[in-house]
Amino acid sequence: MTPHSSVTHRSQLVAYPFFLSAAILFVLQVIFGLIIAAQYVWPQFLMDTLPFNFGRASHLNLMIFWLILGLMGASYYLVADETDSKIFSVPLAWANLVVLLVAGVGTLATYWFFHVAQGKPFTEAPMPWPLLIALGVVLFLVNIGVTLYRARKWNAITFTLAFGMVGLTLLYLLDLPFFRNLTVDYYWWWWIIHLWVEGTWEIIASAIMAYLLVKLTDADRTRVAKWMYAEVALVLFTGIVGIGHHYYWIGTPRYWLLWGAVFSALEPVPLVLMVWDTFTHMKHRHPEPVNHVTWYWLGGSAIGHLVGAGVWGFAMTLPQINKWTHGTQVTASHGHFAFFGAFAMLVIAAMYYMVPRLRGMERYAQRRAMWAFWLMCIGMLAMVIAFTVAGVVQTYLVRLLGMDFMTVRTEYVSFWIFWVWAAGLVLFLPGVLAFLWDFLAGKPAVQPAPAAGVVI
Amino acid sequence: MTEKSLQRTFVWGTVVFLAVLAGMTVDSLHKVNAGRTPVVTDQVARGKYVFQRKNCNDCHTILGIGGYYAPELTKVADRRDAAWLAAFLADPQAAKPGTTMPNQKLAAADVADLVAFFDWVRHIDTNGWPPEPLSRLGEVAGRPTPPGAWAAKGCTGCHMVDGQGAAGPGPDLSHIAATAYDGLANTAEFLSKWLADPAAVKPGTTMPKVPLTPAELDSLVRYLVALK
Repeated sequence: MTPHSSVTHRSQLVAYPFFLSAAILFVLQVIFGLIIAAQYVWPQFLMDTLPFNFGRASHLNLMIFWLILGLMGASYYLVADETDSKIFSVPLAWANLVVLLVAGVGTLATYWFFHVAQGKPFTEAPMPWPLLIALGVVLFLVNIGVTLYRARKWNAITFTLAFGMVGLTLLYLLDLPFFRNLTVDYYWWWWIIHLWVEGTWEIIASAIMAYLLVKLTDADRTRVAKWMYAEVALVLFTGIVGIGHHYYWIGTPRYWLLWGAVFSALEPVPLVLMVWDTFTHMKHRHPEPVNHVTWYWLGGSAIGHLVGAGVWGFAMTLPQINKWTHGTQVTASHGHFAFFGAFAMLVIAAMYYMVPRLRGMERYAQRRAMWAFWLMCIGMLAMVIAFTVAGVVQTYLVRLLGMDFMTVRTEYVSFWIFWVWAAGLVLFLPGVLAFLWDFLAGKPAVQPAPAAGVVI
Repeated sequence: MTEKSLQRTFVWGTVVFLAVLAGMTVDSLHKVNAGRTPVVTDQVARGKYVFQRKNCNDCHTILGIGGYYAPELTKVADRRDAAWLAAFLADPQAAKPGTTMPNQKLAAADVADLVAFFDWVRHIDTNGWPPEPLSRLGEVAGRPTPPGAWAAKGCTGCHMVDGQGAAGPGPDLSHIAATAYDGLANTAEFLSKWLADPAAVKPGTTMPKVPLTPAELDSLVRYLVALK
């Protein structure tokens, strides 16, 4: 951080440590992913020190942590800017960050050194860490809430952002009780997982996307806001009851097969709108200076969101298909594609817009950033394809032909997970490292900016 | 539409859909507790706690949810009997040599609770999931049908017959009655002795001594000698 940061309010600078933590945790997430992929191919690798289940828990939890820290950093930045006021309390924002980091480190240490968890995927953190995570998020809400309240400047973006953040927090509280009945437990667990990623996270992401569109284009603010409302409304109208696609086989009544199928078939609709919206508004971008990298990530996110969440999700959402693919690597292919496209790419887009400003420059030089973009995108695509093939092979052999699970895993699935591992190691990890390097040491773009009218 | 009316549509629409979900939730949970799942005893709840604390769910799926590294557990108690499950959970290597399942160092009470939990899970009404395979490789006309003990005692976890079961560490038994191992003919008499105590016949073998009742042993021997 420099005193010459090109931000409107000094208190916005607190976004920087959030982004920095997020970028570092992202690298760690990928390293754990590589470890557990390697364990498919070489099952004895780190088998005693870091068994697969705790490696996977680390991989999943690091993802949630870095994405949430990234969304929080972006929120601090944009709320100060949108309300044209300082953040209520910078020390409180630091407390918010430190509490979450302590909870995160504590959670991981409990996995690695004690091999203890609370046991449901994505929300494995055992007590007392969930309480500390909840506290961290509440501190964030208070800080943002008071900032918005004091400024009395609600607009579509801040309203939508706050709406999503409050929802995210309330849903997390369902993680705290112990449910005796496994079906009941998973019923509520899906409220956290599904209503996060196909609900509140989408709302927050839409608000951040709208903010970036307003900042990077001359598009009419009201027009952007209207598009955003149409999208978030459709996301929730389809997504809330669309939770039914998780209630086909877990012990819940049969009518969910119909409700889940109908509503989740509609879930891609707002994602199509999002692509249309982003690319329409890109035509109105400022001719000078062009922030290519942010555009790449933003446009890429819209497309990744539609294909990863919309197409890959839809491919397995109907009960006739899901009956066979449920609980196979097909789900892993969708999970990787959707989380990367919908959330990781958007958070990185926000970082490429905000971090240079927090470091006192307008935008970064593009070269390394472009390497990061293409390495990550091609790497993820390769991993997704390998996961998809692994899933289809597994579905066919285990589910349709009734072959033994472990035989298929060791003889067939591991071959394709080898390619996931290889693409992750050779393409995706270097991309993430290039991104981290850029984050820490990015140089300002050399003036003059690229010629006007260059289409990316 | 104006921005304001779109905002109102978003907020009130969300409220309406949340109300729909809330209504369906009340009905679903009522049905779940009133027969779609069996009554949860304290032992089952304790078993679920152990299942979570050991993070079993990040390698295994249960109800199709979780890690794809190790077998689905919803119907595990249909495939294996309680005695085999207990032996495997207490010491995986002893029950299945070469397995990548780590020893969880469970207390005897934890093992019993987990077995009770798996027995509870298999009775959940899952709307027919997981589905029966469309075709089974092994169902070849004229081939003998395996007895209940074949899967229940975990034989399929190490051995394959006609493409069904695991491709190791144990040998493929599709034609065991017609083949000799270590120069010994696999007669009914020999197989009875072998199954009763493998290490007594061949010291150092990785084949574990599986606890079998005389009837179970008899059914397995009759099955194996029919595999020609």
